[in-house]
Amino acid sequence: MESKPELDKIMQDRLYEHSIAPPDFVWTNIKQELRRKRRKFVALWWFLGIGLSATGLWALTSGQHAAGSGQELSSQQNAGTGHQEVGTQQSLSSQQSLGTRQRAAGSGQELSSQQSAGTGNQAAGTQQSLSSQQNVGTMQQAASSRQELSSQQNVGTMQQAAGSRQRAAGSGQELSSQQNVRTMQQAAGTETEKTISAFSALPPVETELGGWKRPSPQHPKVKPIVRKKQDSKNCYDFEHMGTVWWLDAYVGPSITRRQFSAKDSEYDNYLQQRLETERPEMAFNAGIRANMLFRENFVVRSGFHYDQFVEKFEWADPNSIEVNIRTRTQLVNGVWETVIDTLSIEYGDNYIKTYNRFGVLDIPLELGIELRRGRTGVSINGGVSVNLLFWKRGAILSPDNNQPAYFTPEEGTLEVFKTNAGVSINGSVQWFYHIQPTLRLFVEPYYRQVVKPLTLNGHPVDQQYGIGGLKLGMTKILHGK
Amino acid sequence: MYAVCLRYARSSSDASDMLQEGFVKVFTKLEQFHFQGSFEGWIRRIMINTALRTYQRQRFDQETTGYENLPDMPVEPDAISALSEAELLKLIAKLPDGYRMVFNMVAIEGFSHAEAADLLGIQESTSRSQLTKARRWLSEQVLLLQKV
Repeated sequence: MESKPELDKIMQDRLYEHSIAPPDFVWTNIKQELRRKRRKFVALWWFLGIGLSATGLWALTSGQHAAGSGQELSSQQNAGTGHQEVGTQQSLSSQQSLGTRQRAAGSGQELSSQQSAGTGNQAAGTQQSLSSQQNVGTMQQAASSRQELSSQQNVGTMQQAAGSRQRAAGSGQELSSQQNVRTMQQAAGTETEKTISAFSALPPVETELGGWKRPSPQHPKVKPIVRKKQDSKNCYDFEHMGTVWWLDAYVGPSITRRQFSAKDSEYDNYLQQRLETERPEMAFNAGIRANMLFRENFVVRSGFHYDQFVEKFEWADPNSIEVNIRTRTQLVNGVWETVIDTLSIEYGDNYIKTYNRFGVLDIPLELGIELRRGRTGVSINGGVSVNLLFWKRGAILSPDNNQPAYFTPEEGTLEVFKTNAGVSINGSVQWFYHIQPTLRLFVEPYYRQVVKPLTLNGHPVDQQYGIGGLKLGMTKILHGK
Repeated sequence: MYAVCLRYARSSSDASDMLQEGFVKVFTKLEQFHFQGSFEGWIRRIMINTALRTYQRQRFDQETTGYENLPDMPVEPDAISALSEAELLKLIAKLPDGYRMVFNMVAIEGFSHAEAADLLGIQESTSRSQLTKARRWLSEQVLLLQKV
């Protein structure tokens, strides 16, 4: 027996400090592996960066679209007034227009006149308070001030212009509303305010025209162009539907977060062995639920949610001994007796690997806030789940002998888990996208924490579970009222 | 460190893999070394952990040892001294995985049975019995070599 520690000592002396140069390829492999890891890391950052950029771009684009819509809305009422002016400008007969411009050109002021008229249109288009009459007046003011009208010819020109504008106002109706609105939108430029202030500084037209009064224009009744808000063909009209019902169906990957704690310090070793022999694996979730939208932005959700989570149990006993005895029956002195035929003993590893499966069927009840923009939106949800069914199958180390034992609900197996998982707290964030007015696709990361341990009170280790995953699903909007 | 890996591995190719995996860990976790204690000891510990993880990951083949037939006689220290380090490493490599791990950790590295059992996920008594069996197996091999 003394030789055994001696053996250890010699081995330690000879081998502890012993060094051997590794083969060269090992260093090359290490370099390559480190480079690969670095590339992977860089690729991950690139992927993240591209994802964030895409999200930012999307947010920016949708923001601009929203701003554009707002501008259209604000200019809708102006369009009714501006329409006449624009119609006038566009329907002036070429002869009249030419005549006016030629005269203006004679005084070398055509350009300024045109600019003023154009700017006047802009002002008229963007200022809701300006009536078409004022616009015409302003145009006259602009024209007179730029050209410094003093002769009857010029007055005639202006009259002609005013008259032609009036006439043209009637014909302006013929123009398509799209064209008018587009022109107004274009006219609503940045110089609008500057131009208006310039016009307001001009003297009254009566003074400039020597007592001539502009005839009150006879505006034909023009139907105001009411441009409807551009509805997205693929977005449901939630705002006018009151309470809306829809159904969700989803499926996706999930994984568990386990929290093990020993009830007593004497079970610390057992707990450690449990942690070493069990490992969570990817699992899945699925469910269907009904949703009710009320007050435009609030959603109540309930249905059936199923989570299946998996743990890999792997155990090896390198000191396993298996004894096999083969017997045979033979006739001995006229009596049949069972005798040992062969006896074999096997030494080796006893290796066990099982995938422990747990299924949890719950009824969730969640309240969410839904925010929409165009086709897309997000909702933030929270609530509770009540367990309906909890099934389990697999093996773990027994606390009695640290040997593998099955905990399936069959008789004679280890009793570890409760029959019901109880209550869970849920939270999720959903991002959805309308592919049709009543059809959505959504992605919903979620997390649920089972409030109480799933293990029985008599089990030395408390096992609490949290499940995180992704719900990938589809929503069908049923109707609103 | 290659020698450390060779002691824990079944073969030189396994040892190369362990060394590679271990050094990748060393380089990627270098910031976790707080300059408390020996740097070499830290690397050695990483190598041992890598070896143990490899050992735990692998499915072990049926390893029949026949240790019940081993001689009970002690081995002369000179018989061991006559062997080179390479021969000793070859002997250790021939040990069944479980024995080899315990023998390396307890006999050579100086771990206690409790520490070895904890790291290997086995009971302390198992660790003791495996060390005994490893010693007996090695003794027999040394005797056989001596006869040759």
